[in-house]
Amino acid sequence: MGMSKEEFLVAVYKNQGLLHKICAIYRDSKEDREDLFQEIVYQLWRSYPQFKGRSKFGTWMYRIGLNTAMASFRKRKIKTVATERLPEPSRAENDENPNREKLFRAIGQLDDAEKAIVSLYLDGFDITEIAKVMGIRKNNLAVRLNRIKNRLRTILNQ
Amino acid sequence: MEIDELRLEYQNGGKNKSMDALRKMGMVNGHPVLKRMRLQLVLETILWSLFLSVYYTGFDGDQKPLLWNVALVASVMLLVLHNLLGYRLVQSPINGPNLSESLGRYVYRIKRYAIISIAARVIAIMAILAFFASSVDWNWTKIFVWSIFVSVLISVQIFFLWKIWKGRIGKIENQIGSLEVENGID
Repeated sequence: MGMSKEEFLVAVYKNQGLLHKICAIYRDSKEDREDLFQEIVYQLWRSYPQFKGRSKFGTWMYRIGLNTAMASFRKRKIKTVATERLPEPSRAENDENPNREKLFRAIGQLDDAEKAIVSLYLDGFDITEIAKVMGIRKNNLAVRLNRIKNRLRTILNQ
Repeated sequence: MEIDELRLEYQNGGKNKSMDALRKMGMVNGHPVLKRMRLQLVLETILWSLFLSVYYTGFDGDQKPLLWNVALVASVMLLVLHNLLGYRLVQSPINGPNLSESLGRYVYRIKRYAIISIAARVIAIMAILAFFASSVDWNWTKIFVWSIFVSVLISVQIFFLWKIWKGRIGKIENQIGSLEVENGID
């Protein structure tokens, strides 16, 4: 049986942390993150009649959020220059937790599909769940995840 | 720094929006891209409607054959319809039960729309030019100059429109490519 609109709103409210994380890793500026957050919530509302409770609500939210982030057209793109070392964060963007901020910036250097895999992994999803959300095979996912973890480790230890 | 040690820190991230803010974001006005597109759509529709309301007497529509009038009105309607289709495309990026399938179907829809978009603009330009050119007293020099002008105008339009669409399609195709590599399809 489906959820009522109020139940749905409460569930989105409780799980919104994952949306903030998707926005933080897929967009660079505060304005773009805010725009993406609004786009995702809009898509959640549009897709909610199709949510039948076959998967966990958080898994479903992740799928819609990642899909929106990967498919949306950005209104402009600021050119960035790739460097060997992570750039120092600006004071305005400082997170209260420097390790978390460093992790988000490291994830930001991966490609969009890798970002999706690692964000699901870091949020506690197992290989089966990640494979289902991504639509890829478990064996290949496990190999890819190890490669991503190694790459992240290298970036973080620079 | 070990990745698994960072899982807890990752899971604690995120700031809260109020329930009321989340509710408002569900309305079409809550979507920043759609909001801008809708404004553009309304403005363009108003401007085209104004053009259609004055062209008949203002641009001698009443003195031209019915065919040219029909072509002009149809091309304007085609442009408005094409804008509406673009709005619907951006409104629905979720097209499947997982990311791989959804992006695959989405890029197919974008490609189809890109062709419609370019064709609609080219047809509209040709119809509008034909309407204005229909009262010209043609000779070989005029035909030659017009042919060059129309060819350049349409080629430039096609080039820039395709460049824009190629960038958008390429971005999604790269993501699909990355997922296919993970699937061992490459």
